[in-house]
Amino acid sequence: MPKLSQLALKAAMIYLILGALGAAAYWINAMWPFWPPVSAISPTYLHLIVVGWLTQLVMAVMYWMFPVISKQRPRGSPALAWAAVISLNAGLLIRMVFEPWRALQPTALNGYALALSAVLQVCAAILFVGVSWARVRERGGQ
Amino acid sequence: MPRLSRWLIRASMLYLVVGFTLGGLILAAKGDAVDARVWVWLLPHVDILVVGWLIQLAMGMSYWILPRIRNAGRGPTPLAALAMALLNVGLCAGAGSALLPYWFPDLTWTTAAFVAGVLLQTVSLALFVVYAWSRVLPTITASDLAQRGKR
Repeated sequence: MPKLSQLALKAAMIYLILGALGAAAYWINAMWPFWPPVSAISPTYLHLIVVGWLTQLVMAVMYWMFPVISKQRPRGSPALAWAAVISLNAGLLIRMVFEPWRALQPTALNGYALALSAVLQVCAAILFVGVSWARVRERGGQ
Repeated sequence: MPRLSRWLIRASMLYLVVGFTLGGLILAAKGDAVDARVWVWLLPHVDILVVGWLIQLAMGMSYWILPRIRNAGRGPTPLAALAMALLNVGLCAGAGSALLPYWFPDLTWTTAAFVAGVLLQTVSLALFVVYAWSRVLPTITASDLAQRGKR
């Protein structure tokens, strides 16, 4: 398994734990309120699970297992693939901090941060598709 | 990777970009960087990413990787192709019509189009399950074949 897939899979597993903890805290707080700010972690926890875990897991496995382009350049541009993973995780981490913060106390800073998070995550999707498109092929290249 | 899987997987990648873009706009609106009316795209954002990206990708991978049927290969491929076609028509009708109120808030038929799109998506997924059912088989390995040879 390439290094990038290893790191992305490990990051995905950490997001799964964070997302599950967030979901548990959110729903327990909804049933038996124990700390009002916990209500601000929705829908952040959901995105940690669906984007951080599920989508990142899919991306990591596709990067690892899809047919290679050629023996010289098996997985396309590694720089673009790294840029996709870094962009996705940076966007998600910014969201994890600033989305609940903005729900509790809107400021200019957390507004800009959410816009930056959005740009990073969209860039990650475009980069990932750019890297993977040529690998959706009948069979691996020579 | 067979042709139908390539179509399904490439289509799913396009939905990934569209779905992330809609989600990104909604997130940016939360930060007051974008017109708040983009919130009307929440439902298509979810539909496109869950059905168009994740489920369609899973369909593409299943068609490629599930065990093949003896003497029938990947089975009734036209059924799987029909499922793909209906899924994408359903997504365009459902999620596509739900995008329109941003520009045309007075349209009255978009709700009916959304319901029709969701129903088409459901029918297509049922068709794909019918297709894939017969391919959920035990995998025959080289050692299984050797064992059979000894008998």
